[in-house]
Amino acid sequence: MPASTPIYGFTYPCPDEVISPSAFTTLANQIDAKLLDVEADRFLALNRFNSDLDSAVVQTVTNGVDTTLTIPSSTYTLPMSGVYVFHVTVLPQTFPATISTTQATVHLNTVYQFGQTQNNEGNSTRNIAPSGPITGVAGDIITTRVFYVGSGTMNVRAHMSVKMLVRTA
Amino acid sequence: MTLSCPEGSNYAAIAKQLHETAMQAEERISELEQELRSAVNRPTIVQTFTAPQTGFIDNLESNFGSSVGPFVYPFNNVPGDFTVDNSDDTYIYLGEGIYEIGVSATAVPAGVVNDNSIRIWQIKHYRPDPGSLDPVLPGFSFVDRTASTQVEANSVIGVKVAMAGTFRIMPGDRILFTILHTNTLSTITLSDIKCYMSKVSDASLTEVL
Repeated sequence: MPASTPIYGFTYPCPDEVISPSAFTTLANQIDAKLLDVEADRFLALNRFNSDLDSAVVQTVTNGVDTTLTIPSSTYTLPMSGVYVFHVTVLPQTFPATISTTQATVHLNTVYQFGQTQNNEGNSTRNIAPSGPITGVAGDIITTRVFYVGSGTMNVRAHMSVKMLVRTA
Repeated sequence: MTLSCPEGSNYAAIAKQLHETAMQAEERISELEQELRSAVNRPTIVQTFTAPQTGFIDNLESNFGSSVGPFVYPFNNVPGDFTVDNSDDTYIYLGEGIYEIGVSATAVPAGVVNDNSIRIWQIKHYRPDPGSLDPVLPGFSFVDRTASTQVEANSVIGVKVAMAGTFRIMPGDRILFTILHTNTLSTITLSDIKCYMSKVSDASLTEVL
């Protein structure tokens, strides 16, 4: 019965076993496969998961309704488990007749993570840009919501920058 | 790796050599993997605070965060229970370097809201200075800050902030999160508090050559 190394489980024959060529093949293939994993680590060390999402597509937000944006640059699916920093900018494109406050929030699978509000009294609108960390697993979905107090509707664009801080898997 | 050649029919030696090959390969690959993982995974702490922090008085710059209430670590790859803010030990342990530090929170008046009252949020960086009489942190001198000023719109939702800054930190330096508000009609309650720190670079990499 072959034994194996403690960390990666590379197999090797015990002294009382009959040695066959497959023992060499198996060990070589195992080492080769692990080196491919290390190559992936090297690639991540040089090329972290960073993304910059921008789009000219706008979405209409109605006053008093906390709206989840669905435009391409407002959502992100985590490609790998880890800790990421998100910087989201919501850019108003049209301006309601009246507006007193705007809020942009960022969510992990619908759970609130962080956000930013601004005072728009005087009916002035401007970009709003919250940033913060999110810890998640591969496949988790990050979304942006917009809420404002005022009248009518407002069209917005979004821009999202993503930076991986730590890989956890 | 050095391997002696087995003699004819010495099958036990072959097994022994494969064992040594496997162990040495594992040792080398493990070292390389750890170095690469360390390069990818810089020291990072994320804290969230498990209860609202209350009673912040108007026109008084006040600390919030680790100095005020309990917290948990959604993520922490730094051995021990160091905190992002209000700690002399954190940056002694982690060493001199460039750090990215951020905080987010929600501020809601506990009672009556002063429309258009101000909320000034700061991430403040202090350095040990025994002779200093700094009003916020005696014994330390102010070095740098990142700040955000917001105006309450009295729209029920309160004020949310989410900001970050980059700081050159020396061992023994301290980070504070502070809020100053002008809501004179009631105190402010802070909730949804989250902070993080990530060491971007060791100091030696920032020298000008």
